[in-house]
Amino acid sequence: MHHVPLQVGVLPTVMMVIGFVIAWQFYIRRPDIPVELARQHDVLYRFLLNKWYFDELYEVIFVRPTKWLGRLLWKGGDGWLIDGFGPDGVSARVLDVTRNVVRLQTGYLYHYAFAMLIGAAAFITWFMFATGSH
Amino acid sequence: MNWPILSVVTFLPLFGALLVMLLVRGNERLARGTARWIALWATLVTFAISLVMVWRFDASSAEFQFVEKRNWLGIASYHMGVDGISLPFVILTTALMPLCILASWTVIQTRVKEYMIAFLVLETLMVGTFSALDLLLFYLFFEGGLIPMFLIIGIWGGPRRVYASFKFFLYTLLGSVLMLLAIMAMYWEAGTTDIVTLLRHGFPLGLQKWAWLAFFASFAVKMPMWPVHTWLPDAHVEAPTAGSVILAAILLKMGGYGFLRFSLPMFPAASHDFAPLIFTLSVVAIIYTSLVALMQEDVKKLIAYSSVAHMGFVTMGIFAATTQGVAGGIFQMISHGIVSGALFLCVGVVYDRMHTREIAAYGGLVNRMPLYAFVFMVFTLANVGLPGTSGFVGEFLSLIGTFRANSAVATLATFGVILSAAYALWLYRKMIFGSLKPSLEGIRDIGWREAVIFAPLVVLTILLGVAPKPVLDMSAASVAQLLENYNHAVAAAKTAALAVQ
Repeated sequence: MHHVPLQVGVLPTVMMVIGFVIAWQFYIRRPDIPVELARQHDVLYRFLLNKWYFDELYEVIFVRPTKWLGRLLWKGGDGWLIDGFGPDGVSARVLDVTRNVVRLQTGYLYHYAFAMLIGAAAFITWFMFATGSH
Repeated sequence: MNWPILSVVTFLPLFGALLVMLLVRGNERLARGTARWIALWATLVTFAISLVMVWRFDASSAEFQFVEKRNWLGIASYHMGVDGISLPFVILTTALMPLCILASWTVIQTRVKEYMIAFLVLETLMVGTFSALDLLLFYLFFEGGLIPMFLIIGIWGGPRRVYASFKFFLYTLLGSVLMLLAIMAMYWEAGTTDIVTLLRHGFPLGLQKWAWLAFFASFAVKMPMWPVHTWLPDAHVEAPTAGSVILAAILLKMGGYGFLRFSLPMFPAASHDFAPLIFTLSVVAIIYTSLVALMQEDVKKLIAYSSVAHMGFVTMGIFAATTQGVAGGIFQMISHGIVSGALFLCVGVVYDRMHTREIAAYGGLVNRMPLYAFVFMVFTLANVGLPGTSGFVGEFLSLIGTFRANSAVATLATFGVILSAAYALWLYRKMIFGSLKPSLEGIRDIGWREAVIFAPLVVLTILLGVAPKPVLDMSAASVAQLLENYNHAVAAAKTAALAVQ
């Protein structure tokens, strides 16, 4: 065991007694003292009453940034980035492509005939030049 | 006695589905009742038989037990068996199914017959996934499970059910197609799809790497890991209560089970190389999705995001490849199966009464539903990982296991524990405490049917938190063997790499 100085061992008891006496004095014997003290030291009183404003500090330092970050990751990360470029984005692009492809199917015979003609021309050109260069 | 107990457990629900299909006749009322009772009895008997398996299971052996093997299809075989890693999942499945049927008892009023058939077929496919010892058979069960779930979400789901079911289906299928490619490559390399043989095969490093990635694509979506998790919140929100329970409790575990059954033992060198990737994704998942969970306005979405975070602990523990990490991962999956399933049931209770999942619509429930408040509290605290609940054991073990492998990762993951307390307790305060909303004045506390559902889950949550030994013992031998082989293989790969240099 560590050797603990006597004062350290006694200290809690002493503090307890002091606290007890003060509390007794303030709240039972002379309840007007704390009221008067609070009036005289208004700023200090409010500071202590609000627990050193720790709740407000935490609210600003931790809670609000965390909420902000959570919302950002949810709406921006999951919603916009992952879903937007992932499943929703891919399905939207597929729809875009098919919508455009659908437009090609006009049903007019001369459109199809024209497309065939272009295709045949391109093929013959490629055939002539690609094989002719040998 | 020498009867194929594993096949019976696997296919009894399918038989039940057949009975439902054939026997459910008569007027609407009668038909619904028959379908419910057949489904309940089928799942209860299945559970009872699966308990016989626990009774007869030899936990000191790491070998596959209750093995059945028959020729089938020429290249593949009907090969079934369980070891200490798969048996807990089989039991989890069979234990939760009767509760799911009970939870759907009065909620599902349309197409009851088809609903029960879907659930029974799903049970067969889930048990099959955990007990298949042939890659092809596994793939069939694994993928087949998508279909009933797709129907359950798409038919009995909420307003955006079609979007959710397609998202779920396509996301999962995309990953699985890559897995099928890897399965084919493994067949051409090893000449068999038999899992027991493949476990001893020792694949060349090149194949290991890309096969690992292909399996990863499938399991990461299933798990789900960040950033392929976005199907889960949608699927959960739209699914009926029992569908959410199965999704959270069992289907997600297939990813973790896959990592343990395939990635780690069959591709050990690749697993070792890719562990940093898994760690990164896990830590991102834990912190990112916890933060997202904090801001949710929908109860089911919040629990869904918290599931992603909790699965982050599982993947982290598994790929830490330490005894505590892997055992913790398994335990966390079992615990999460019970706790998240129960949380979704809790949401179902108030949803059935108020028909809204908006957190803001609730408040002060403790005034009208004290019993519900207690039950919800137990599962909320288990979700947070309070010591004395099952959630603590899994999280703590996987954190310890990871700390040995990578202390920075474990430290970052610990923030997830704090955040999980923040979102879970905040949710509880908003819904249960405060002043009672006027619209909630007539709300009833949980009835006897709901009490029957919750009682075993509350008992299990606390029991596994105080005495986790039965589950840990069941898997200990298999985990030890898994890690021994893994360490051998990694060491061999290292010496081989040195020899090349």
